[in-house]
Amino acid sequence: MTDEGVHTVVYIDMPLQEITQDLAREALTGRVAQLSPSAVLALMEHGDVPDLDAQTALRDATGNQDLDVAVRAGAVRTYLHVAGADAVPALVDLLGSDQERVAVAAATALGQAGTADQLQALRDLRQRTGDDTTRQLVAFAEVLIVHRYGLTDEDVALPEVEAFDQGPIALAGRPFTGTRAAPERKRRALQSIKRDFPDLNTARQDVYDVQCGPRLMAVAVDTDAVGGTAEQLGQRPAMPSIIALQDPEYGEYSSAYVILSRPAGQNRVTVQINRLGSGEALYTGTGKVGGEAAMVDLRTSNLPGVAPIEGRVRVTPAGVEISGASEDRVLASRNPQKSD
Amino acid sequence: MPAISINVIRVGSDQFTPTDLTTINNAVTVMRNVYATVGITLRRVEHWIITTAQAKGRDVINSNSEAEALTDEWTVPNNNVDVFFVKLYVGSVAGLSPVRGPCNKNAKGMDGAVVELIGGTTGLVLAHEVGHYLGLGHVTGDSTNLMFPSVPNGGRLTTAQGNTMKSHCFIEA
Repeated sequence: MTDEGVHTVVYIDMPLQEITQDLAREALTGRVAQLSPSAVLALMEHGDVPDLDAQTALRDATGNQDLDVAVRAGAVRTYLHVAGADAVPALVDLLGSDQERVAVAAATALGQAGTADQLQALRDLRQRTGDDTTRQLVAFAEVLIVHRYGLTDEDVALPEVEAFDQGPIALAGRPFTGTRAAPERKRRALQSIKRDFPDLNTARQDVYDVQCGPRLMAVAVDTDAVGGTAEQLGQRPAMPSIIALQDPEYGEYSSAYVILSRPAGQNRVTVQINRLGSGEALYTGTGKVGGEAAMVDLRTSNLPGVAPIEGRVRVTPAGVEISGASEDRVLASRNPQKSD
Repeated sequence: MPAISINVIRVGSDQFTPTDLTTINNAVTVMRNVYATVGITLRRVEHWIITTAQAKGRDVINSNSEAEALTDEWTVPNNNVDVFFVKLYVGSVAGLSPVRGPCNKNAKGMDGAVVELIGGTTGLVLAHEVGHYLGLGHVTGDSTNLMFPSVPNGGRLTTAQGNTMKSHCFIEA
């Protein structure tokens, strides 16, 4: 039996012995009873469809107007996982998709796999859309590229933040600290993160385990960005860390958050912890870099469903120290609309 | 008779077709029938929507962490189990839920279940995930049991499992 409090998933039982490439393509339409579109995408991602060129099939799926738009959007993400950086040209084409939801999925993927060469295409999509959500999601994709490549000549604003006046919580909250991950855990976490960030140099990452309430996180730290006492963060935008959550039952990791930093003058930096995809800044902070140790204090943003924390990240030449406390509650959630 | 109520929350509601709504209604019927075998009534089914624009990309779930974020951000303020229906949960996962989920839906951690629409199997996924929320763990040795880790399964519940579910704080008299 599973322990209380953890999350657990149910898997689709897939008839692997019956899979053919024709059946897989047909299943993407949702017309194959025992094989859902999402299950087929998983099979394609893992190379489990005999004789199928998964890259081609997935690229075709993203542009197939006969498929449900959700399937096409899901195919975009899977295509990124399969093709890695080779997906970029097709993702740029998809920014002009007949379905804006597909274009948004392509923009999100480009934020994780694209380079400065794709910024103009993203900017064009952001400027021509009439939808505020699309605008925000595309803007965050631009932010990711700027920070991943440390571009200093691009004027892209970080997501807006409304600070939450939380007061002192350290005594009432659950404490958390970071510890260096064991080699196998580090390998698995980085393997998962690299699916979402294909140009990640895994050899230059250090990984720390952080148990924050019920969630076990792997914090991958870019040792190039935070080398020494993180002086480089004072020079240019950076993405010094990617955070993956670990599934408590099966141990699988999934990329969930990124940490973005920007110079704020005089060896000071501003920092955000943002949700991957939507880009919402859950936690923000300021701090100093250089000297004997870099130090950033984190505070909570006023966003629905966010758990208040007080956190501190300290960087010394010996490594990264992560500590703090989190509350057992979250900020008031949003309410869906009632439907008849 | 002990009873449970659920909130059916359609995420990316503008993308749901009449066929999708039929799939949800059929899934609710499956859950009602499965739970009746252990003496639990499905009492109220309330319907709620989150539009694609409001979902901020989480109408398509790409990872378990996105599913968690969905339940973190959205809550229906009542004593029903929140069940978020999505049209696509990328990968071989069809649903996610906490085991013995909280009755305080503003507590830290996942406080709802996420269910993917997968045709005729959706009902088993719904019943399985709400089963988790009510306290059931996986049963690995018996593929006829509802709590077997994959679907489709036999959808069966034991008396002991029913008793566990009846002890959850969301169970109504």
